[in-house]
Amino acid sequence: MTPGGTQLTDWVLTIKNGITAAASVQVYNPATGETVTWSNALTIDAWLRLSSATQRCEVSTDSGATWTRRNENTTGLIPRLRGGVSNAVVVTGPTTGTYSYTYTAKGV
Amino acid sequence: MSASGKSFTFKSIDYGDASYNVYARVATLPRMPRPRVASDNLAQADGTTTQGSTFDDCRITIECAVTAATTTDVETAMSNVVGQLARSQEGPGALILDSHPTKQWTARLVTGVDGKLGLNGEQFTLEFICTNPWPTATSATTTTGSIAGGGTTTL
Repeated sequence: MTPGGTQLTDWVLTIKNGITAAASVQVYNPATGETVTWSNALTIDAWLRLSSATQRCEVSTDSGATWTRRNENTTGLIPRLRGGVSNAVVVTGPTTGTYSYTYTAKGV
Repeated sequence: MSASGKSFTFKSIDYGDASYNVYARVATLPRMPRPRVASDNLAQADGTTTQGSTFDDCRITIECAVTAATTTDVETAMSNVVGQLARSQEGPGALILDSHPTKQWTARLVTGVDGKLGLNGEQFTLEFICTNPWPTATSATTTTGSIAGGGTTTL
């Protein structure tokens, strides 16, 4: 992805796990060099929400209705996005499911 | 877009609306904020060392005019304007200039309204401070996709 703007931008990434549990989740953005490793089990159908602005890791087991903070066993920084250049963010861990992310371009 | 063509929206209030009827001209708009750099002498060596990774806040100044057919209408519009701007103690809010409709600043009003009366209107100047000097898009971008089967997904 290539976010708009020219500045480092915060974002919220939500990983919606599918039918296979994931032992851990790692998110790496080579454009900023920042990596976060969330070493907790993401159960079947659970959602993991990562916010770079607040550095909060949250899990929902009811399709996003309620969220529980789960920052334990987490190393690194939830990466930010670098505006105006390619950010080939790599998510490692889940093998099924979907993702969504939201950001507001900064320095437009 | 404002009824008057060129105005501004602050904290979701469109001051170009007929209730306010503010025409605005942007007097000062920083295109790029000033980097904040500190410089210190190096001990027992030539030259200095510098450090800095932040930017100064920016200030946006706009010159406004309220015009109406009658003095009474001007007074009514000015009362409406002041009534909204007086909520500044509630904290910063989104500022969008009609001249730059795709950008949004998080701004705080730092001036009062000192009206200069004319024959058929009133003029005043407003100054906003933006502690985060970078404007953002006026709306968020959301993208969705599927996770790749191999356990590694590139967004």
